[in-house]
Parts: sequence; C-alpha cells; structure tokens
Amino acid sequence: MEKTEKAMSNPATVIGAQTHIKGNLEGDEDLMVVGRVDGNINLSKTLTVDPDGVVVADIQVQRAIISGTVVGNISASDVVHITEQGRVVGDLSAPRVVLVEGASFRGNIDMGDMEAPARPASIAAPRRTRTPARPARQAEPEATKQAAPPKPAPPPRKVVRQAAAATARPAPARAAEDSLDKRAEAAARAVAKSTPRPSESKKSKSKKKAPKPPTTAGKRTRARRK
Amino acid sequence: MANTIIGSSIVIDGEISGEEDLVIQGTVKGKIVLKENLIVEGSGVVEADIETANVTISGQVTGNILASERVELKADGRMIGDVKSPRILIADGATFKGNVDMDV
Repeated sequence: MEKTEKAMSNPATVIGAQTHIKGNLEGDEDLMVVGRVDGNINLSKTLTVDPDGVVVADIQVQRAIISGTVVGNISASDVVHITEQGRVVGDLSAPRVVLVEGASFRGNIDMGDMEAPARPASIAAPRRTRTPARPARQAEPEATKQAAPPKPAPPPRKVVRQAAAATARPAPARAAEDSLDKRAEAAARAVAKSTPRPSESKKSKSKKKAPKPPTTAGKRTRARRK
Repeated sequence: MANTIIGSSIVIDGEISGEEDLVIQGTVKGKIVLKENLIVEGSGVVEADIETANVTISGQVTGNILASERVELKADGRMIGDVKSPRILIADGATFKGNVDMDV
C-alpha cells in the first residue's frame, strides 16, 4: 500500500478521466491512467490504473498497481499489485504478484523461476547434489509396484517420493558409480522400511523441504508423473 | 487543472481523444481529437493532425491543426503544417511553415 500511495502521489504522466488513447504508449516515467488506453503500454517505471481507469492493452512495466480495470496481459519486472478495487482479466507475469482481498482476477499467474534469489544454492548444494536424485526417481515405477499393494493409489505415491528423497540424500556418500539397478533396489528397500513408520517419512519430508534445490527436484518429479 | 499530462519520456503512437485539457511534454504521433485546450510544452513533440478548441504551442508540432477557437504559437514554438482557426497568434521568435486559414 505504501507503494500505491507513493506512485499515486506524483505521477509524471496522467491520462485524465475524459481522455482516450488508442495505440502504443511507451516511456521511462510513471504513468497514471484515470481515463482509457487501448493498445500497448511499455514503461520502465510504474503504471497506476486509477479506480476509474480502463486499460485494454498488453502491458510491460516495472511495477503495475491496478485499482481499475485491465483487460490484457501484464508483464512486470518487479511487481503486479491488484488492489481491492482492481479488476484484471489476463495473464500476469512478474516475480512478485500481490492480489489483495476483494481484488477480482481471471487468468494465469507466472512468477517465473521459483528459486528464491535470497537463498544461495551453496547452502544446500554440498549436502545433496541433483545427480543422485534422478536414478532414485527412475526406480519409482518398480518401487511403487512393491510398495503399493497394501494401500490405495494416492498415499503410496507420496511415500515413494519421500522414500526416494531419503535414499537420495545419503547417496553422494555412497559410491558414485552405483548402478541404476542397485539404486532401484535401495529405493525399494527404503520404501519398504519407511512405509510402516510414518514418523520417519514425515521427518524425511520436512528435511527435504528445508533446502531450496530439492523443491526443483520435487517439481521435476511431479512433472514426470503428468 | 490539466487533466491529462503526457510526460517528457512518454511516446504515444496512435490516437488521443478526449473532452478535457491535454498537456504534452513527451512525444505523440498519430491523431489528437479534443474539445478543450491542447498545450504542447517546450519538450513536447507532436507529429499528428490536431482537432480541438485551443492550441498553445511552445514545442514542436508537425501536422495540420483545426481549432474552433484559437491557435497560439509561442516564441519557442515550431510548427510545420496548415492551420485553420478563427484566431491565430504567432509570437516573435516562433518558427512556422504552412498555410493559415482564418476564415472558419
């Protein structure tokens, strides 16, 4: 909200309530739309759409603060903020997207690479490399077969993923030249071990979530399943 | 209160229409249709046909102007194009090339 007020207090360019622009608009300064713009907007600063403003355009800006109506895709290098009066139909692409209660939105949101830049990869890297995680996942189909019978379909999946992670973590310590078969066996064994003891798998799950790169690994695992 | 301001780093390529004052400090190419005052400031560049009531030019305008009341070209103003308006003022120092038609 701070940002909203700041941007609204001193915009360099204002499209007034009775003004209608059709076409391309680009620039390097803040822009406030109280009237209407149809076309494209390309700014290196902040776009503010007033509650009375209407923008039907593809928008590329640094920051977009939407209190009015926008139909079109918004791509922001910093943040897209839809306030409680804002109504947006279109896709959002920005590292930060803020949708407050009351805001109305329909479309996709792409916040880009989910790896947070604040956490350096080096923290997690020495503990677990990505390489061992891959063979463990390859072993999943077989592991699922062995682990599945006692339970309905969804829970074993979860367990398998946790087990795979559990296997993967100590893997670097083992000989790197472990064959895929051996790892598959290990994964299966880990599944068998972890299935009757949920407390252990929970623990391994929480551990898995702590460092950042595993998120990527988990994402990829999910992607493989689709 | 000037309701609409096009700031100095803004470039608009298209059509602006409205019923309120418009101040241009940036660049507008295309067409401007208003019912009130258009002010092109010193940093403003307009390459457009203009239709409005009053036009005040301190910047640069290329295009034809049809004004129902008045066109004023200030000392810093530069204008290339035809002007049709009942009152036309061209200040000392202004640059102008085109036709003037005051018989509206």
